[in-house]
Amino acid sequence: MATDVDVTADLLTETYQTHYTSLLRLAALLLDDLSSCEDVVQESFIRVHAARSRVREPEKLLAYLRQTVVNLSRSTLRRRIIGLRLLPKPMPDAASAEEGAYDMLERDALVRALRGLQRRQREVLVLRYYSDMTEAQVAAALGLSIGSVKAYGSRGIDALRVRMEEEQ
Amino acid sequence: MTQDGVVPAQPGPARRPTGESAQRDAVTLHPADLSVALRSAVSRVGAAGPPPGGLAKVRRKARIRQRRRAVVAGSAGVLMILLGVTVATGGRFSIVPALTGVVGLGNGSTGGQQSDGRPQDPSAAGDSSQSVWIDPSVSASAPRTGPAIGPGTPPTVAPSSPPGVAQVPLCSAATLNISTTLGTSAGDIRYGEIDVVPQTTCVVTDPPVLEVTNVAGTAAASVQIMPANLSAAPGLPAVSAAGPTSVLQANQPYEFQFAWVAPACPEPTGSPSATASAPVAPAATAYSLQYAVPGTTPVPGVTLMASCDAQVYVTNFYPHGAYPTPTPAPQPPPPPPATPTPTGSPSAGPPTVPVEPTATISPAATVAPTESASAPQSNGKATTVPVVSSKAG
Repeated sequence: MATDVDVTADLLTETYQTHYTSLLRLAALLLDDLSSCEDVVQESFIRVHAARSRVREPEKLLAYLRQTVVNLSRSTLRRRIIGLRLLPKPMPDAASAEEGAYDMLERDALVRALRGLQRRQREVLVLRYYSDMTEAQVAAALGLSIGSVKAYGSRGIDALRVRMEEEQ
Repeated sequence: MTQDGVVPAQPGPARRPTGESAQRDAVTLHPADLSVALRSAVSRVGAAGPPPGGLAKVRRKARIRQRRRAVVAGSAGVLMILLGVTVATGGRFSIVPALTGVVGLGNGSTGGQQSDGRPQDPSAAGDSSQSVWIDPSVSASAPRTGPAIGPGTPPTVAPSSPPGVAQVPLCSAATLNISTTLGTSAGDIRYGEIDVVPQTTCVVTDPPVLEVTNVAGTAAASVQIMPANLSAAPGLPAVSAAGPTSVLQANQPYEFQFAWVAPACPEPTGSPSATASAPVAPAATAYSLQYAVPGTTPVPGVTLMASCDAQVYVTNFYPHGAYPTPTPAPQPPPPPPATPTPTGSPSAGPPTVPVEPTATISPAATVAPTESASAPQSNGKATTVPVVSSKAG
């Protein structure tokens, strides 16, 4: 007889195979290098897997993973903020299958402009428009009010537009 | 491309997600099309799907993390249980020896504490530093020696107290006004008293802990500290103690007395050719005695001399004036003086144990008795600062 833990483990397996890519892309929009994105996504799955016995609503597993990715991305940026300012970005040791995709991502004007936004604005835009979350879901994920989400989103789009124009 | 020039709603291979098109699209960014633009921008990221073996790695790391978390939780549980036991027993059980025993530091006795909260008998540790805790239940004929807490460290933990005094803080050098006074001499015995006036109500160990040091670091082996013994030091009052601790009320003077018994060195048995000149006796050594209380503030002490072994007898605390100070006993006739020697040459003549006049002594760290010139040290210098050597109490 399958226990709840087994069911959650199976659900995790399914979620991993189905949503790994979307979570990796979510992290790619929040972070600035792909290896960190992979680490963040893997760490998110590890945390959820280690705490699977506490997952009470399996349907919210993806939301939990998204929130974990956002939080870990934020932590990663905080940890590296000094290093990113002072040190040149190291090149990866070995060629990765994602290297070409990352190069294209780096050249993308939209992504470059997105990374120039404030952290909150970037998180709201990515969750709202990439992950297709509602304003209420974004507010819950980021711990903000719905009004703040609207404000960050609106100002974020304006700032994004200005940056895109500057790049042209 | 839409009518207003933003990116098309259907991302696909036909659309180039980066480069000029993205820039052109983004300038006319509309919130409704931002979603498509973002997806297009990252469409090639992770296109190969999850890495092979990634899920197995996730499971393995999750298992390791769960195991580690269980260990931490178990350790925290054990710690909480020990702390609970400590609280439940009112401080009579100390967690430190239990933990050090668990991790293999010490043998559970050295540096530990007895069930009543005081350090155990640490006589096993051979160190020149010495702290002696006097147990009232132990007879005076059984002196206890050895480091109680640590070399050169006065007791920093309040011993167990009756429930009524459990909340009173331990007295420290900062909260006590301490003055040490040497009194009368009676033969080999030198009496003294230590007066304390606490600034705040606090608790002290009773009998008090004394600290004896000397430059050579031999005090641990040559000085024994014991509770007051009327037969050995008849001038001391018989002060009864209510328990292992005493509560000193704020701004009330208290005191205790001590007796420094430094008998003359025994005659060497193998020297039949004693001539008319004075016998060759070991040089007198200066010892510094002070009341050991926790804190960094210097505690006044006194300097005492002894040629060989010495004993210190100490009374319990009592309110100031409750007992008289020792009166001088009838002195035996002084021995015939030895061959006079110049006092400025310490190595010339037989050393004499100086008899100091009654004096109030300055802090021990700076005491350099004038008699030191006639009491040469092994290096021929007068005692200046007592280095870490011996503590007693």
